[in-house]
Amino acid sequence: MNDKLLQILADTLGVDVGTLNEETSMENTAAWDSVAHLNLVLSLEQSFGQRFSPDEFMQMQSVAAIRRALAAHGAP
Amino acid sequence: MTAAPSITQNLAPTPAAYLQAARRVQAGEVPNLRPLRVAVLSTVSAQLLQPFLIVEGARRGLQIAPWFAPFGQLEVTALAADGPLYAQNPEAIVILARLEELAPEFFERTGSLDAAVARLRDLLRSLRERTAAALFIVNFAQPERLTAGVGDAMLESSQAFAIEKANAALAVACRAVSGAFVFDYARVVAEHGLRGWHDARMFALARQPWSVAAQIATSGALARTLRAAFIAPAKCLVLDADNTLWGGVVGEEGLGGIALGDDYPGNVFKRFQKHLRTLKERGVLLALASKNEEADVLAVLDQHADSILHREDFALMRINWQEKSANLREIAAALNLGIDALVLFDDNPFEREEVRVALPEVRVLDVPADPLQYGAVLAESEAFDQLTISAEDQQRAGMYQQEQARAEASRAAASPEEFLAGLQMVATIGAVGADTLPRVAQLLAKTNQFNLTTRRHTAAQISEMIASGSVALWLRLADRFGDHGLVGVAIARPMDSEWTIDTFLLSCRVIGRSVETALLARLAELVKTKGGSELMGEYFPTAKNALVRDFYPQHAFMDCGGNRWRKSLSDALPSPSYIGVHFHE
Repeated sequence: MNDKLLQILADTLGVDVGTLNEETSMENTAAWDSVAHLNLVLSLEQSFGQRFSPDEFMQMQSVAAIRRALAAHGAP
Repeated sequence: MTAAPSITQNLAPTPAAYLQAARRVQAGEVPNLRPLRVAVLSTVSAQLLQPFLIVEGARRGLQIAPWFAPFGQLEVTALAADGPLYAQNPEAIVILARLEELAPEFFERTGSLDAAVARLRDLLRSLRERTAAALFIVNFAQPERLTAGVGDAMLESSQAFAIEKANAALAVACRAVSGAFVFDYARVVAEHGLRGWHDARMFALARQPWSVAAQIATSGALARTLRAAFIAPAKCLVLDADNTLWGGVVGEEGLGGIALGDDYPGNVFKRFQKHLRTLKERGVLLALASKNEEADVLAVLDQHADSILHREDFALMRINWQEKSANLREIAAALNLGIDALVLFDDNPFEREEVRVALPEVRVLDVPADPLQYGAVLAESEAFDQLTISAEDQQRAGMYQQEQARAEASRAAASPEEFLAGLQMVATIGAVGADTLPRVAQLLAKTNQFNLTTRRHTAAQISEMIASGSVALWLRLADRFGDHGLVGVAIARPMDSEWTIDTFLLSCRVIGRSVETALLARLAELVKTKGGSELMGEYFPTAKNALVRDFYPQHAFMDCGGNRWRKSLSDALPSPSYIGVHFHE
């Protein structure tokens, strides 16, 4: 399954990957602040070889939303 | 020069990878880093640089603790004496002001940048009045697109030229403020390339102008500049001969058979030799360590018409068949340098490995197989980076040559005293002022061996001490073989009638001549005229300064315990008879 995404999120936030799941979002995760969010999406871009629009940056605020954005880009 | 541990190596170029590594650096997992508090004042939101700055710092021996002022508040932050900037007590302050924010109208119709430069000049002064921190001004990069496009270069009001002029004015402003430096951001952008530097999305979303690649490049270059300001550079480049200074093996192919000349492949080596000569003129000592017959190597240096480097360009040569590490040890000892002041450049991987294993403190460069890349590898090693280059630096190689002549003379004299008397030494001692401050600060920054307290005051801090009543003296030394330049510093600060020797140091090139006794005597004399009755000396042991452990007892100071000694100033301290002393008013 898509552990790569959760691992990047864990590295960005500085938390153990075991604390993250499909429900994790900016809203329910203290460490996922606005600075972490930019770092997260920039890291995802590099690791998945994609480039997101500013609107997508604003939408990708949960693990579920990120998976939808990656899928829309045809990323694995 | 710490070997960069794996934590900071081979990172993916992503914030996630750098954030992970930065946390480990902050947790202290990379040993032997020098902690450094850095404040960043910026017209853009710069805190995304944080993980990159921490990792790039750790790669260069620094544990950077960055603090970012709220963006766009340059003066508000700088002027608030009891505000958060000074509460951080930063050792370095970086002013990152872009023209896009400082002079937005410049990008619509070009004009003068004088007002933007004046604003930064005032900011520098405001900061200097409130802090002794080292100050770094980020200079201006060229815009990604010129307003007048292809026509700009012809315009009297050329945008590109206006930016170059403004950068020259920023350098002038920095030279006028002690401890202020330009961080050459324009150069970083040029090296990386303007295309792909900015990320318009990031600026729109977060007021942060850079692509990730630009953040990494900026942080790396800034860390490099900070290291040059806070960590002493290497001092001596030890070179191999065959296939390093010329192509081929002189012992086998002979003087006419080696590659050194104006055609390929000889021109590659000739160019590298020119590069080395430039390095030498900047103050880096060159030494030669080669497994060879001495006569063969000397024949090239003395007789080969295309050899740029000659025998006298080398502070020391060890041409013999012993192990490279043994020669390096001897070179360090003969030049009075720590082993870690040496950098080895040798084309032979076997020799490099032998030195790496035997002398891990030596910085061994990874020399590529292609000699065309020698110069670039040397420059990119950052080993000899220096932010300011003094007149002493430029004379240094000659001074070490004279030192060799002195060593010859020493063999001829019967006793050490007779030898010292024969040197006809003349010391000149004076009060530290604006003209001598840069060299004095440089000595404080890099003297390790003959240094009682190893306090690394900046130029600004020394000025502050003098302004508040401390006595700061410099010492120059000359002898019959030449001028050593400014080689000694003593600073004492008062506490009622008891004065403490805050700093007492001597450049390693004049150790062993009792010139320190003359400096101490003058310091005592001056303190007495200022009403001092006692002098307190301290010795702070480091890995390098065991040499001066007994300095105060040897000068008849009384032990107070805890590496502190005191001396009453009722009688004058003796000064060696064989050193002529002049006082510079």
